[in-house]
Amino acid sequence: MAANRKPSSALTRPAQTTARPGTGMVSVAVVLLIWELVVRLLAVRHSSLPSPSRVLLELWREGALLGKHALVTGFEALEGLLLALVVGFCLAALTAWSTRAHRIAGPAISFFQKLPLVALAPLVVIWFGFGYSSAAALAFLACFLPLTSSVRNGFDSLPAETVEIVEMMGAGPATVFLKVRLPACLPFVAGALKTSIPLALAGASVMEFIASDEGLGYLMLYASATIDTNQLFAALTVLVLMALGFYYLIDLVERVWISWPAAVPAGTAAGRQMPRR
Amino acid sequence: MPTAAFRIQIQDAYHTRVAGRETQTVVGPVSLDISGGEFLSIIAPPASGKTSLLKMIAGILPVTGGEIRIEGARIQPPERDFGLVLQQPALLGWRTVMQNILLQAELRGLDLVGSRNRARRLLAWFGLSKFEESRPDELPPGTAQLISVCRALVHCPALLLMDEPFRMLDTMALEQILDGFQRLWLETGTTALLCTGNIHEAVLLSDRVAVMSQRPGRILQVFSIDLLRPRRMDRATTSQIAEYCSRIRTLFRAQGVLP
Repeated sequence: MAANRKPSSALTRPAQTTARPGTGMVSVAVVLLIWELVVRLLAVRHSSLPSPSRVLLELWREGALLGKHALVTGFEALEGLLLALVVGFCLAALTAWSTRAHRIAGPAISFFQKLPLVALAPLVVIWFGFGYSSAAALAFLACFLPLTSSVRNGFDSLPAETVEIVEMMGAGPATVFLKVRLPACLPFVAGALKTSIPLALAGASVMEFIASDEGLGYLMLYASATIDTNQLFAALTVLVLMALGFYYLIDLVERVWISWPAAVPAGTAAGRQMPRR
Repeated sequence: MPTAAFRIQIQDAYHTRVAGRETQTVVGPVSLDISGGEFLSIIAPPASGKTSLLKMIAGILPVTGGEIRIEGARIQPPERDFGLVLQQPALLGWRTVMQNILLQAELRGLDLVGSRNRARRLLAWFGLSKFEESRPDELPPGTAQLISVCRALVHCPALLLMDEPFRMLDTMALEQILDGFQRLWLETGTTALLCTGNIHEAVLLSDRVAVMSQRPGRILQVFSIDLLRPRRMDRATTSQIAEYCSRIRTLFRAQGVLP
């Protein structure tokens, strides 16, 4: 009997098949090597496309500057993301709880999800002014609706029978929410955070293009205006590394503390087996 | 594990639901009288409403018409002193097998030490002791439902309601489990109601088998299974069990359910 074989599940954890950092590094290294060789062998102008070695040198030389601006962008994105998580979670819980709230909020969420984010940027500047607040606000708007949808999917993933059985055991609505719905939702929250991080960073950076004098977005815009492609690529690299860093941090938290699927299905048709006594 | 055993009286009970502009009768009217300590199976074709009837008895679904009484009193939604096993095992993935079983005791405010000992005994009964600290997603196929049976029994319920709990087991595994489950039920003495689509399983386990029609499910006939317990598929009982199964199949053929 294959006691150690995990059954296939119709209810799979969201984003639990993330490759570990090491597995992608080889392919990234190959891409960088090809890039380096192309630039050198074809004598590509550095002002158009710097080689990875030049970008690395820039990262080394301007580390303090890049770090200072990265902190700004990082905090803007984090603030927007965390606020989106709190508000999105509450909205998802409310629409999962109340059919009326779902009827009102559902179409509105679907409508606003179709709005292009960049088009909202000038409006955000009017509302929040120049600088940090606008960037955090746009980061919030960038990931609020996707987060809400994902968390709502988490609540909806719980089979009705699970709630019925727990209620039969004597659990009231609050106990059902805390002991069943909330833990069942956590894998979806983790998955939503992982997909929302690049959105939050993008939102913050876009606003820094438009209405800020700090942050990686501002730095990239300045580098573009001065045709300093080394710095532009270096800033872009830092942005990518931040996104990856956040992503794998949440992945680590997920692996350690949220390592379960939402529910256990009845079992598969293939390979039904009896545990040996 | 001695326990009380509820009597169930179902009088013309039915359940309807609104589908678009129509009101559909999902199940019933059904009338049944289940004695305390009796094991009754309801065997029916798929989508006949047997699950709905089970949920009405459990108090999860409202009784649209007629009435259901447990020990003479009308049921209150949801009835809490029951053990319930539905078609999905509904185990909580973040809890171990033992923690899932003990959830029953936690929510009912029962003594956890005693409940843990009972849970261990139940797991040992089904040969699942080694999975005590496993997570549900680490279990072999078919065992999750057995865990949910253990969870339903850990608090010594006066009534055990089961909706096709063994349907994911293959034939050989099923025969092993039914043998163990019979002996377990004989020891508890609780009233048991099993909904199943497996005729052989119903005859093997039950004092009586109620045959239900297609939707909206109504009771066509109730067979009394006069066989000694425990029942096994050995030479002495095989032909008798086969005879009961044949009679039930004949009834389904007359209904056009079976070819």
